[in-house]
Amino acid sequence: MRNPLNKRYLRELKKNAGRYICTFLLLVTTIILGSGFLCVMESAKYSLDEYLIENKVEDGYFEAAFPLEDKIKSKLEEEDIVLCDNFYSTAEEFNGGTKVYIFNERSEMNIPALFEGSLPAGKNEIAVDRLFAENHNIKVGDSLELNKIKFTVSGTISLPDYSSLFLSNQDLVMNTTGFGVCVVSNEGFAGFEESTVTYRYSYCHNDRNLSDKEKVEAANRIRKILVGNGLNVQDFLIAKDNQSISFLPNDMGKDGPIMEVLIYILVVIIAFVFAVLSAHTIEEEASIISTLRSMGYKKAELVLHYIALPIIVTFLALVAGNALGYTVMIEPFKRIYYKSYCLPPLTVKFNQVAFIKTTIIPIVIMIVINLLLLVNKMSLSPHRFLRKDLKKRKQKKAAKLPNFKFINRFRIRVILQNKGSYLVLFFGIFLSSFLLMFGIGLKPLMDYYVDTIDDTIPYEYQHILKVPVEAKGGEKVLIYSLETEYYLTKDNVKVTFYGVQEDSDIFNDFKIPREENHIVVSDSFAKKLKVNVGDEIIFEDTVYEKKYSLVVDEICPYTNNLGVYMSINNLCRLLEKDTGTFNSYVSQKKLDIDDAYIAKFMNRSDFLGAAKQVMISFGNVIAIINVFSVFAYLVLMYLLTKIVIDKNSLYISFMKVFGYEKKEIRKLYLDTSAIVVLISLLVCLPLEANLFKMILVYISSLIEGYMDFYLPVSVYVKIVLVGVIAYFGINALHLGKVRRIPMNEALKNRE
Amino acid sequence: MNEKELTQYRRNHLGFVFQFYNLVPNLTLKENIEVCAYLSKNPLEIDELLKTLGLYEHKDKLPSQLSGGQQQRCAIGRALVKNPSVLLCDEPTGALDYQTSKEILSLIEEINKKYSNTIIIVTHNDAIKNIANHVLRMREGVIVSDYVNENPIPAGLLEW
Repeated sequence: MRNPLNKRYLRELKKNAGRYICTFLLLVTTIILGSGFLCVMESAKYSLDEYLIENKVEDGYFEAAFPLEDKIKSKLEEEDIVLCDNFYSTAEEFNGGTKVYIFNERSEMNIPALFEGSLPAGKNEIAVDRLFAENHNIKVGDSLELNKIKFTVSGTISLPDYSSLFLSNQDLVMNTTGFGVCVVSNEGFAGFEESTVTYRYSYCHNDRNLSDKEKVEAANRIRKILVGNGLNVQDFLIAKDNQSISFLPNDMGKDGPIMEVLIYILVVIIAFVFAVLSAHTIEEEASIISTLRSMGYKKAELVLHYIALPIIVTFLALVAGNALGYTVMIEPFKRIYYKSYCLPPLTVKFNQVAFIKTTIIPIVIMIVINLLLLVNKMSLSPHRFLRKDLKKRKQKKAAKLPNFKFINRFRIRVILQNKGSYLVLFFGIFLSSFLLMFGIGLKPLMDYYVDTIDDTIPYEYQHILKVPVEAKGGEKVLIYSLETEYYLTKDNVKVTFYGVQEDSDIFNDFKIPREENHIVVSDSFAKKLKVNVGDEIIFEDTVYEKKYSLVVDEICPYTNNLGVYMSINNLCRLLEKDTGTFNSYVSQKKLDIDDAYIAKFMNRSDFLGAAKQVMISFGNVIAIINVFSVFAYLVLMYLLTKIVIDKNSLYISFMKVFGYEKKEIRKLYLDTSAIVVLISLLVCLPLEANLFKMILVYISSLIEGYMDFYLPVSVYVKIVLVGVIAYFGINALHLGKVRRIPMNEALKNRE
Repeated sequence: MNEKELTQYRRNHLGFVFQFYNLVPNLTLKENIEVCAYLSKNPLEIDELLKTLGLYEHKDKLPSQLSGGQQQRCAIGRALVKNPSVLLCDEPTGALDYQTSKEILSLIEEINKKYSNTIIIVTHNDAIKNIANHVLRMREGVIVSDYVNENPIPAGLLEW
């Protein structure tokens, strides 16, 4: 015989449909987010890993001012590497200001992956990066003019050495709108003017099992060979340090844990919602439980009976959430990655680990929390249930309250009676409003970040030279990269040294120290690395294996990167370079320098454009987060305040019998919930802001800069407003419910 | 006996009837009885029991659709269905009117005869003692008299 109590499940579901539908939907959306996101992430990660191996991504590259002689090439190949020409022609002003690198044919290394069409053949065909094509609305078959040559688009591709579009490795974020990459055949490449061509050489180690350290050592040997042969090496980057290659594989793993933690926290909150609801049901059914227990039902049987429904609902939600997450949500989540990154075509893979994370773990959380509560409740003797005395610790006296007005004392009693629900509500509000804060606060924060860079950056143009040439109107600067330890990751981060003129007109926000070994650091440097005036910092030159210990004299207001400023003469001395060595100009006007001498040219919008990119890549996620957090607000507020009414419906009925008016009942019960909601919203704000700050420190640890915490008051106001409006709607529902509580409930009651 | 053994003892030997019927509100009468039939290896035939209780035509109704007396009959049926050796009745008529109380007492009497189990009734109604075979009178937790009733009166003849 099946347990006749099982028949209650369906009836209970029907009776409390609102309750179960709400928790079900909240769980489904949570799981959809989790499974969709994790599935796409894991699949993309897998595709990317395969792609980097299959399509032979380089281990490093360097750029020379002129093509290498064969003699040097063969000397380099003695280092057990394969060397490839990876030349590119730079088109500066495509489509009004977009920089495009057009690479020559690639067959041995950095092989393109094809999305659509075919690889370029013949003189006039070009394959463009898929993301670049999407952003500039380029279709297969269109014609493009780049550096005065007309091409027909033969296909869309992705390049393994440009999975993230970083124009400069110094950039903080990618630049998917202002920068793009293409590939032409060798024949087509021959048509470009020499002045537009950069001679990049990429290499791969024949030994695929080298450690990072061995790769760095090999790179240093290669560099020494190049320098030893009198070559001016412009840019030397191993894959690990090359953001265009390494950013995405590093970044991909990193948002996973944040998402997981978010999912688990939400599941825990929903589990507590269920627990609060079960606790209420048990109180309501205390006499039935006492009867069943006295007739011989075992504790375990009743625990099972009361846990079944939450678990069944959870299970169904997990099934539905995963099913939707793995099907319809693939596209939107794919967009998040494919809108920002140049990934190869995605093969969606069922991932066991992701599946466990979005099914097994949530259901275990659900079972554990509900089981703990129920076992705890059911451990009371049947006798206690009969007397409805379900408090664990005996409450001898009612808590003593100060001599407030009756109505306030009453409200405090309601709060005390419902402290469990209100506590869960508090955490629910905390989490939902934190999500909302993140959703609506990120844009002003990024704007602020871009604005402060814009406000503080002291020059308009930066010209990095291939060879030192004289030019009028600019200031000579020696730019050099060193590394220093970042306390948070214990890893080295790259910092940029600027050797500037002692009487600089441009860098005039601070006093350039005259003493040797004294430096000024930028604001972002000081904040990210937690450095104060007077500190001594160790910098490391990993190329020449040297260490320098320098003293911070001052902190200057620049926020564009981790910059260190010192007198150019002192920097030359420090790096053992000849006095007067420089490699760049900064200026307020574009300088008249022959393009052939310029390695990299950047203007103000280049400095800023990169930072603005973050918003573009976050756009989709933000919309999802905002919708989700408002939904979570509604559901949690509805369920947890409704329980207050459910618990008190008998007393509300009594109140009506006594002659209380609707308005007065509202004041006693509903307004109490409103006050708790409002207080929770307000108290949570500073807590959320702190959490946001901590997350920013984490985000900053991923980028080569520092994002300052900034939220305008309007964000806080919006959060509270959304919360209040959400509650306002729910309150209207509750009012209707209170109105429907019949008076005969009180009159018919026998206990 | 420890907790577990106590539960097992209740499961195998005891039936309870309370002053308030404590029926499961979203189960029908028949299902409410089945809840306890489930606990027993050889429960009584439910339809027959329902007929004995005079509830057969109400078997598919929910408790809220029934009168107090009918609900109490159901509660007794629920306690009996496992065919317990001891039936404990705590003020079984406490919430019922005169007529209904007498009907319930007659039912208990009938059941006692039919199933020959031990029935212990706790009551404040002095008249009810007359239907019992053995009477223990208690005051403030102490037994003040203890006698065997040689001539129990049929419940239908009780007056109070």
